[in-house]
Amino acid sequence: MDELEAVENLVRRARQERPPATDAADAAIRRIRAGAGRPVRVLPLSVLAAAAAVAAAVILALAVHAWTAPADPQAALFPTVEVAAL
Amino acid sequence: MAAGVLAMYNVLTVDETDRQDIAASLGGDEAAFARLIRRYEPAVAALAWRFTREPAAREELVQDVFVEVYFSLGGYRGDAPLEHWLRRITTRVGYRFWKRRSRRVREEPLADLDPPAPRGEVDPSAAGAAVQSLLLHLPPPERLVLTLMYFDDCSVQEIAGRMGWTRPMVKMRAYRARRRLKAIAQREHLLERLGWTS
Repeated sequence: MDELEAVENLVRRARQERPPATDAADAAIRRIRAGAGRPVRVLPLSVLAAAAAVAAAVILALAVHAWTAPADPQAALFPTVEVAAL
Repeated sequence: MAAGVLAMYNVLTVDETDRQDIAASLGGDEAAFARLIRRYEPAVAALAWRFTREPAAREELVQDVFVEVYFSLGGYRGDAPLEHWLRRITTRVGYRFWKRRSRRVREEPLADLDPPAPRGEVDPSAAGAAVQSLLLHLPPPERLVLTLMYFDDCSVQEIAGRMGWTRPMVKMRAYRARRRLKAIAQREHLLERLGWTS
């Protein structure tokens, strides 16, 4: 028998153990009444997702506007050269 | 609301009494929740026993489980028996307890096994204490895998599901845990202490 088999033998015996009883009901109810363990409320994920979508839409609108705006800022420095018709 | 909750649960997996008590608890009925606690406390306490044998710590662990159950009861979908869901929460609460403890408590020496006894006759309580003190030498993730396999009959798949780990991760942890456990048992002269050398 190696050590691991010995441990597994011990486990088989340990599974027959009867753990002592507990009495948690009253204390758990008291803690619930006191609000202990109440999860901290964060904004629901859907609200955060909606806020992120709005922000993304604004950025997209600005980007499209900038993209379609006529100009290269340097364009005004170089007036269009009219090519004379030959 | 209660009728909606009752309709939501699978009648094949959730016991009728449980369904009614869950619905009433969600409506704020403390007596119904106390009934749920009393019904499932033995199962939760038995699993909590595998996380700590200290009476006060275990009592608190059991309370922690039911407080967490109360505040997440709305998330119970009823697609598995309530006891499975409670075992999952107990496992997570117990694991958090181990992780907190592992930061400040050093591993304990192996429990006293004297006098040695033949293999089938070791006192179950002494065997439990010995196994637990051996497992305490493992890091919490590995300890959890072996604890659930040894004492809660969990498969790799179940442990993965309970903890949100992948199956290869659980397999790897089980492999490492066994290897490490063997080395610890050798170092602690387990066979000699048990008198099982021959």
